[in-house]
Amino acid sequence: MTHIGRGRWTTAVAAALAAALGATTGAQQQNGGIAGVVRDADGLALPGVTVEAASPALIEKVRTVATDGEGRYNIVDLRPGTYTVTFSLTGFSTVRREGVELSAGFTAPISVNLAVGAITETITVTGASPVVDTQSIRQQEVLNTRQLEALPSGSIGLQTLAYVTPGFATTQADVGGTRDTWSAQGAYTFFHGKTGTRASFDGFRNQYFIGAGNGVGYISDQGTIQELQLETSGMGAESGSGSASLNAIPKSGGNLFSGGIDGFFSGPGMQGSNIDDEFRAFGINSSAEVQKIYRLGAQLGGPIMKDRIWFFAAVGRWGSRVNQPGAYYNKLQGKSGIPGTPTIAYEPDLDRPAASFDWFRNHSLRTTWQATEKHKFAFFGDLQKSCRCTTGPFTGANAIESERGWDWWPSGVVQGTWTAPLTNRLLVEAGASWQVANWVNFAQDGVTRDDRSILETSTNFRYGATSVLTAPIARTGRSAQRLTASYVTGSHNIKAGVTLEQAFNDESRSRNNEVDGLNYDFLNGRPLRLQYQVEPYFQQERQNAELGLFVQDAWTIDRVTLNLGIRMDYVSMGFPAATLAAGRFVPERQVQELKGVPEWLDINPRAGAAVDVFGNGRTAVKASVGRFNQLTRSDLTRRFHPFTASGSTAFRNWTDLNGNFIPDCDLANFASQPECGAMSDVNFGKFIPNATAFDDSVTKDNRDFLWDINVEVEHQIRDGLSVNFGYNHNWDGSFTVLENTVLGPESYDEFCITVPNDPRLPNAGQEQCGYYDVKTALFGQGTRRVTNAKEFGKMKRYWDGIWLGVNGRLPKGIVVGGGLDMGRQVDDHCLTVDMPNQPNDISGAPIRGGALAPAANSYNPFCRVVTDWTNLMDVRLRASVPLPWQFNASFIYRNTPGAPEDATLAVTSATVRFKDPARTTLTTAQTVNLYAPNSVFGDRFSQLDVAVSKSFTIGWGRIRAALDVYNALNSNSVQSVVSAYSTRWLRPVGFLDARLARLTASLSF
Amino acid sequence: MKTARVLVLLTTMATGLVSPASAGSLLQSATRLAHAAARDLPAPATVRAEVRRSTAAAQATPAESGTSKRKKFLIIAAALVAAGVGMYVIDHGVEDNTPSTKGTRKD
Repeated sequence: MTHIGRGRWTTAVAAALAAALGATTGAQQQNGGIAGVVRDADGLALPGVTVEAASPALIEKVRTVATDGEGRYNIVDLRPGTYTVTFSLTGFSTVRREGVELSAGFTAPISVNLAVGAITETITVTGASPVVDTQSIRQQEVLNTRQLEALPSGSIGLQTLAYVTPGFATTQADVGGTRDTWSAQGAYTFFHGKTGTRASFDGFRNQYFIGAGNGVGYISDQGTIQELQLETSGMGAESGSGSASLNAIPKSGGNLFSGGIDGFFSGPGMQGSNIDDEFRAFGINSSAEVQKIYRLGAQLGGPIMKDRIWFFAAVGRWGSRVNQPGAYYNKLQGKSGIPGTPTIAYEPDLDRPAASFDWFRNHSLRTTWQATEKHKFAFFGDLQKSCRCTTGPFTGANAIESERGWDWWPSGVVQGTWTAPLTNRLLVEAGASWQVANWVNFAQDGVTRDDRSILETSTNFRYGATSVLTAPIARTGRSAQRLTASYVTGSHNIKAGVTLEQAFNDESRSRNNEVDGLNYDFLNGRPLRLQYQVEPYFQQERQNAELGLFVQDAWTIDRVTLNLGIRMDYVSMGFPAATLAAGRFVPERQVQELKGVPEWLDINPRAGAAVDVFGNGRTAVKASVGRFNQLTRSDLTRRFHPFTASGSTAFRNWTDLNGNFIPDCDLANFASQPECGAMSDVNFGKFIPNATAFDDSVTKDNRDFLWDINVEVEHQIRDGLSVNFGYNHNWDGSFTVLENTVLGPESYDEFCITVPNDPRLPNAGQEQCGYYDVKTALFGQGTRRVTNAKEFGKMKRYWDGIWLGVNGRLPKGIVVGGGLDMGRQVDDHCLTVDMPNQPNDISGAPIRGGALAPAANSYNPFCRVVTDWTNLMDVRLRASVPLPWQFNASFIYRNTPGAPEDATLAVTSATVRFKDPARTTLTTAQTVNLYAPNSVFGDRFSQLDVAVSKSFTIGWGRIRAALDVYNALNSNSVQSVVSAYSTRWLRPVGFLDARLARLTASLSF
Repeated sequence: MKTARVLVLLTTMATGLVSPASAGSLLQSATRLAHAAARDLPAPATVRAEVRRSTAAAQATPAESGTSKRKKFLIIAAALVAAGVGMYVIDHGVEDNTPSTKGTRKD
């Protein structure tokens, strides 16, 4: 990180803006290019050759450049499609190269020799399209619509590439669309240990500005998608924040009317059962039961005016209802008879299975206008309404009544772009996007506003009501602008540009119970804690600016292309002025507008080289190194906001002396009372914004970042088929921790537990120490400070990994892809901030390490977590095989790490022993790890999806019918288990849904 | 001669970039030989890529579908209308308990 003072920053910005007037847009990385060398028959370079790239994908029909003094040419910013490249020069025969297939971000190397002859004589060559990009250092995966439709892809969306790319972890598996679209499209977690994948539509980020910022605010409907592009390493300076990038490239119509209608359906009777004796022993007697999964889409595109105005419209409907295994409505909902808490216990109503339920509607229109020979404009709009009716994904891990519905309306996006190849060397592009999502929560059927959310801590099972309702206001949005230009010669492809984004998030938050807003924690059915939240609560965050300035060059010298770039990233966030009325536990609160929380400035260099080893475009060695900032998100601003910083939640122990399930104490008196203990945060309810202070080392400096080093060899082993092998090393920099200003390591007492005598546990039956609890006198004391972890020691997160991949076509039209990916990740947070060896993140939760979120109140003596190669090995394969009579068979196979099998134990004063014999009680019940998390894994996860389709060509169109079978082997691979040690320990929570058949039909014309 | 030119093109395209004449590589020699063959020798029986030679005057016209435009339009229009009806049925058949539809939104 390079910190720049304000004066120097202003100068740097001015200089960068000046340079930016001749650079290329961020959108260019999503288009392809064609480059090469033209020589005569004797091998001498031919300058001045006219090179034309033509395709029906171009509304302007053709792009033209000329070769430079070295005979080199480079045509950039070409939409994905099939191109014909024509080389002509007076005195030489014209050569036409047909069938050059371009995908997003791919530069096809096409070099030719011209022979002396008449220009009117044309030699047309068709052959296999190149598959190795010998100029770009970017590691990427691309699939187009045809490839996606030929595969058993489930619901096609941003997540589809994540599913088929080795090494890309996802939060949950999808079997034929059993996961709702919203959670599916945000379901990718990390790649090679890197968190923060950027998701975009047409190059504009489409993620919402909430928390970690990786959920999508705009759903990409499959009817609008032409290609999906995934970049994982070696991204250039044009790429903004984020360690990997998923992008959906839209369809745009053409000079011929085309379109289609598509649909699929799965229903009862089309599914098997994958429950075995092991599952039945856990009380799981059924897998998820599909009631319906459906889609109906229609698309139409074509010319409004030939060669001048195109349009493309798409409308879609999608929905699913899936009964979750072991999930039922609560028979005791509203029947407790206890005043103020109508639901106090849970009993499954076996006559009312509970289902995950979601639906989605979109309506989009794109127009492309070739206004003049050089100026092209495109406009896109999509209006969406959807219901994530059970949060997503509802798996039955908690009771259905604890889910909240999301009412996404109105939501949508409006985008516009302008492209102008002003000369055959200078290309300018600009664009703007505006996206908004309203996502107000609502309670499930049968839940009243008297109900409370209750967490049974022994099993981590929540019931009664949702723990929080984001209502009545919940809206988020993002707007973006970009201006870039390229100056392209045969040897140089210089790009520079500026991108600017703004975002907002407005959230009100309440508890379901409207009287006092309390949630309860129970232990074995008995009251344990009262969970408070300040109400009313309404918070707003603003990303005032995410500014990116970049310049880069791809400089080709003979067989070597150097990719050099540098990017400046500036972020400023804050919040507007606001006033909240007094509530039961809190006074009136007021904040003034504030900007610059945080305010970060980073310089991110990116460099690499690609070598065409043998000069024939078939073998490339690539290396890259780059610095990237993590995704911009609102979590720090949210934490800084005085409404949160003063302490918006707290708890107190509850001892139900008379067993009436009513806290018989003055709830507004936070001092210790017979039934109610002292509040866990002495500042709760006082509105003290400085209760949480933020160091400049966090808000003005040290934005989180990562370095990424990638080395790769790619080789075309035959026409249309390539293999690649590579190594990646990446590491995070700059970690943020929360410190209590009163506490230090001396403020804690060490205690020991007795590990349950279970042979599955290490140290079974033995005493295990290294756990800590704050001294009783200091419980709830102190204020908080958010600062950089380097103040206390060194935190580390790094990854080393290798991969082997294959991609392309075999004889007879067989298309294959996939590979093997494996690595080793180290998460080391062995530094002491307050509790020995256990720092907390900015929300106050213990940093756990690894990819999983920490459990509430979980304390971890295992501060160094190493996930080794075998546990991170990942295999994904896919193939599409044309068969006789227009049949086609395809499959996707995934074999990925098994579910982490962590073990946590709920302990009370009665079950621990303090090393200080004078101490006998915990300040509150705790949940501890019995061994290092992410160190024990279950059986590997495997899923095989297959599809058989038949096409009927009917002259003017094509009808396709397919039978997909998801999880064809009927595996019940487990993705998550109950980690709380109890009779339910290791009980599968998330596991692969049973084999599911799906009927798909489409008409395209 | 046509096929000999193919040989020249195949040789050069299959080997990609050819170094300047002064470099004297084996590859370059092979290319020069191929050029010579194009002038003097009969073409080989097989080629790796399809090559066609044409002049500006010899432009093929695209084949036409056997379905009339009007009939095609009607079929497509009917299909799109059917899709629209299907979506209408879905919109009114799927349970919609969202507050925005029930009119209970308070934002």
